Amino acid sequence: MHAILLTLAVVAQPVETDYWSVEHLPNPEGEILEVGGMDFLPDGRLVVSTRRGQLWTVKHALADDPSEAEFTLAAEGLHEGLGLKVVGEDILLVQRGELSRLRDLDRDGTFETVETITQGWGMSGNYHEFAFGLPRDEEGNVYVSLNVGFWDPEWWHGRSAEPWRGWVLRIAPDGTITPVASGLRSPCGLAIDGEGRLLATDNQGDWMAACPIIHVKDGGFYGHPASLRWNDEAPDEPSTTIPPDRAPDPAAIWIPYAWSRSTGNLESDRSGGRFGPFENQLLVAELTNGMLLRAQLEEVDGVTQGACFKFLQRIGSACRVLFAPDGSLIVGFTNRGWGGYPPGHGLARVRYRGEEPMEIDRVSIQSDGFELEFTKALGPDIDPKSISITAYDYNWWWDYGSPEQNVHTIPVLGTVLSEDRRTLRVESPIEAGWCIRMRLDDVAAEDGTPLLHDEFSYTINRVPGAGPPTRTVLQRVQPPEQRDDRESGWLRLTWGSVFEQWESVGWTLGEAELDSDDRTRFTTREGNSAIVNSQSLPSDFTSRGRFGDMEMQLKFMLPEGSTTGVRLLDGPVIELGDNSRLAGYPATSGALILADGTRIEPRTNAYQGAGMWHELRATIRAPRFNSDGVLTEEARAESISIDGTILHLDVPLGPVESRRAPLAVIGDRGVVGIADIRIKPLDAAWNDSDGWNRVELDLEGWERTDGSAVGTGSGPTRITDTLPANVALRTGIRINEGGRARLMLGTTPIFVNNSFAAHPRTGSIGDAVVRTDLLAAENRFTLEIRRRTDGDVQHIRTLVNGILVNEWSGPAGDPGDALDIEPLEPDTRIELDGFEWRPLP
Amino acid sequence: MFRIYKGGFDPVGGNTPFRRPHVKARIDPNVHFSLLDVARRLFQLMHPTIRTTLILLFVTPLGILLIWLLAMWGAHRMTGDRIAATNRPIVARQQRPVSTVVIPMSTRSLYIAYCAQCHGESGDGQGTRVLDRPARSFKDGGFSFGNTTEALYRTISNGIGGTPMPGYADTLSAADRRRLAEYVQALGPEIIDVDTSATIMRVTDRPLVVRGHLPSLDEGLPEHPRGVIMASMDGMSFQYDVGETVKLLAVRQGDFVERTDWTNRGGSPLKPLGRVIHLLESEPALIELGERSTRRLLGTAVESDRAVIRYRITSEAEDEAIDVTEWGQAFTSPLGSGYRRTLTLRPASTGRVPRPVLRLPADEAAIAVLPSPDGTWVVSELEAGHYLARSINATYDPGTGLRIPFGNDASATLELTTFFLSDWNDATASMLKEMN
Repeated sequence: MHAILLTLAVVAQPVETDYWSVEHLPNPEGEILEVGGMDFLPDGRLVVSTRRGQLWTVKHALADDPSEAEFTLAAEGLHEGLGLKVVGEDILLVQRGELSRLRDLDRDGTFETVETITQGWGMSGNYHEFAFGLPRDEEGNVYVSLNVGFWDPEWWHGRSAEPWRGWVLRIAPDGTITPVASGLRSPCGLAIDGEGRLLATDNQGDWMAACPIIHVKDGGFYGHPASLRWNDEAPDEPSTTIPPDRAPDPAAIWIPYAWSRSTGNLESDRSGGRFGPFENQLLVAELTNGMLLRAQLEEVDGVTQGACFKFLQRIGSACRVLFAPDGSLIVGFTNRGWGGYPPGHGLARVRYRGEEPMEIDRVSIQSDGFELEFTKALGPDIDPKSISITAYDYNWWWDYGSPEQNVHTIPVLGTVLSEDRRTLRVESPIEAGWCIRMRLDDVAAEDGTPLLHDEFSYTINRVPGAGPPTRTVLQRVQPPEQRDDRESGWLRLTWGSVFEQWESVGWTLGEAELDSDDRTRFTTREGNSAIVNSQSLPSDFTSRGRFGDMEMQLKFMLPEGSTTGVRLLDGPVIELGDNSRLAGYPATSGALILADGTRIEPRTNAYQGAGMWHELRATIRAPRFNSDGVLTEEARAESISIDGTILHLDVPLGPVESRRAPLAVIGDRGVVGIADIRIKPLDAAWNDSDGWNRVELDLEGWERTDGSAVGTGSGPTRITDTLPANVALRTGIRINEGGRARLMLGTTPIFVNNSFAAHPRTGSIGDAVVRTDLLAAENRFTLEIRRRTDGDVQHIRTLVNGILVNEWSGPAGDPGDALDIEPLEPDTRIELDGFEWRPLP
Repeated sequence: MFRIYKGGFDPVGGNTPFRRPHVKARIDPNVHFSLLDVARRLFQLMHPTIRTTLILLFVTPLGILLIWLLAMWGAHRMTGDRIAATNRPIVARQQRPVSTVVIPMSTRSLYIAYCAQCHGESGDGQGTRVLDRPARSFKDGGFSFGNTTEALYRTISNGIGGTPMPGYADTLSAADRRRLAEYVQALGPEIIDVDTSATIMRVTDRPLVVRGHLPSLDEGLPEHPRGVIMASMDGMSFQYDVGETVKLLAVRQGDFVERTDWTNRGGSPLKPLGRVIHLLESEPALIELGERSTRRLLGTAVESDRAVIRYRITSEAEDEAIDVTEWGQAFTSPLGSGYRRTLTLRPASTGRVPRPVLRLPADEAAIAVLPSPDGTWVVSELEAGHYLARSINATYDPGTGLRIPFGNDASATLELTTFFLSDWNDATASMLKEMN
């Protein structure tokens, strides 16, 4: 019965390619076209510039048969070409260091003359100083946007080392430059839309919470402070960590991170309906997730804002879009040698098939909610309960991107359908200064066609009639703790020695990517980026350590149709599943399956599809039992998210018997690639203070600062010499990059080493070597050592952040009552935060 | 007697302190099990000895058959390893061709211990240690400070400042560092089949121009974020800074350029391949319009058999300007070989008639000034036994320089020839006087 229902659902659910066809143009033999700019020459040839500094012309790019496309190498040796515009017979091209005019004076098809129009922006030579373009306005001015650079050692702080980095520039036909707006980070896309608005996209990172679409206005500032140094008023280099006084001007749209991680350019649909129903709306290229998005803008009290929708997924690393004269959309792919959705280079054409999809055509904000216009008349009336609205804002800070913050649902108070059933009013108490995502379940047209995309996001800068807003989407927050401390508490369980901290059979380490011939498989080769259950009869991938309360993070990738899961606390499973083999059935991951069989669906779908890496994060609380073993508090998932989108909040995890248990990735279901598994135990030591003896850290030759003792490589120092034979010791440690030290418990060394080139790593005991890079240098962690002597044998265990990581047994001899510490490298700097011991029974 | 045993998680040797995962016959409510699944579960619950016996009895013949089938299948599909998205993947692994050089195991162990966690076991830069940026892939054959054994030895010893690459001078013996340097070098493209031809620009049927970030030409000399290199058809290439000024930095001979600038994360310098035969970076400007004149790039072009660069020289007061079109070619003579630059100058301003002055850079070191059939030779001694001969197609006085005359078509064409002499005597002097 289920199967029949499912089949019916599959038949009825349309997919994007029912309405738009995607045809990839065959690349010229042996060439890689990483597209950076596109336009059409007056004679109809498509001209394409690439990141690799080539210029190609393409004859018959719009022929019915894409294999008729004829590529000609029209220039090479250019210093990147990330934006171009045809003007007359010439090509204006933005290279990394200049705006150029390329000319084919002898009409032989080769643009052999490269004239420099201007070099009027600074270039320090930093790798990240890309230059993008190139829309042209009615006066003949063109617009260029410039990246900030990233330097060692603190590469995560974008800097504007030379004039106009982080700015949009206007360049007049004579080469005169006028700086337009600042505050940009990596503004990869520029466009002038049908209303004449200059638009820019940017890429999430420092000071850029997510990827925005910005309506660029003269004098505007859009959030990244580095560029402010070229303002007349701010001659000093702005702080890399403290937000400037000047508040950023609002972005028109913040694209949800789950949809866009690297936004390319955007173009207005001016095809007059030949591309479908979205006249004058924007098509937006997205590289990492490999999709096209649709955006639609409106102005409220002079402020631009609007809605954003998924449009066409799994197309490739889309970096550039361009409307062709015939109303089709040309898509240029680039993955820049980074991880983008395949294909990572080349060209494709997207054509409208002519049958109208059932879509949300436009969203218009009202004082009391939203008005949604649909492309077709709606069928049954809409139950307000079938609509959910989630609101969130972002941190404006120096850290890399911002999670969606202050996430909450806002109620839908009612719905009103217009007489022609094409406009739905959704009444809701909305407020400016939030982004929302609205999802509509079970909405269909009169003819029964379900919505092609049932979700959109809207950035509310203003609410009509509500006056000036009292808050903004970007929230000034306390700058985060130093980046060096961000990994405190985390155990990196697959770094260094990948399998050491796991029990596993049938799992291998390699590179994995989706097989382009059969997407239900991975193609693997030698490498180190994915752990795959590729061999026969694979076991679960089960941690040796046992975890209770924890934050966990795991990256995963699935081939089409594969389903597996992550088992928590020896019971509940977070499902990792790909349903894309069932046409039209939404790809899902993130359902919770409890030990009693209950299945809890995620509140939304954040899974992007097969062949893409996703980051699963969860915060889990183990059950609590009283001393009689009676359950006093149920286990809970505080939150579960994929790629930053929250799927579950505070969900009871049903019957769980273990207070602590290994984490396991299920091995004998579908194939899965996993990577970078980290766990931050939240119930580590230090909670109990009973019976612990504190040692005064008055160490000879060591400094005292703020309660810590700091040693810097002056030979062994005695900590205490009163230890019993059966003893537990614990301390908090921070050791520098490249530092190495050992504790001598009697005659047995226990190592502290998180980054020094050679093993043994932290937790190693004598010759029982830990090779996993569990800890990041410069981050605090707790080390606990337990020694028991049993006749002639002594047993020593090490626990890091409360998790058992190593065990050693050896002859007891004289176990010794002393503990020494000794920095081993001359540049070692080690801090001890307190030291305690207690006898073990 | 007690048994001494090592602990730890060494997957090969020692005891493992944690329990083997207890495989539970847990049935997920969302998954429908077949009989095969149940059988497999039972199988997993068996005692290992029984399991092994069963495997031997039943699986071995099947295994032989499977290996044969896989071999056939693998031969049929030469497109890499594949894994089926089923519960029981079929895996056919093809051995990739790797190094043909036999490397002592101990060196590989050194590499695994010290390098592989960042640079990857195969040297592809895909180590398991997650860095802020990818570590160097040795397979590219590009190294920060050169790919000779010596250069690699220096890098391994001293590390790379500002990157996670540490120095191992204190950790490893000199012999071990040298072995590692050779090993890492062997991981490069000479041995591993990585196609770099796609990144190399070669001059074939027409001259080439490349723009990009130029690496430093020598210790203490700067990089040039805006640069141009032009290749002539005769194997010469001319390397210009076109940023704050326009200046010939070096003349090279040999292959043209490897486009390393877009590899990895992009934005790297180009890699010129030709050998520098003349380094001019420290020399003063050739042509001046009064003191402190400036130069800016107008463009480049390929005109039939030559690549040209165009730039404008403007006087400090901006009342005089000339546009220069310049190209280069190889020069050979019985006395030695070098290169020739041809410069065409045209007034660019409508104001004053410009009066540019040309000065040959080596004037101070001149040991001879000789007339030639169409101009002047100036010979200077570089170091004992090495001489530089320069000519200009005009009568030239090292004392005053050359005030460039503009002809009737308001342009002047200068030919500057430079070559190296290994001998200087009366015979070479008289030969030089006869040469153009």
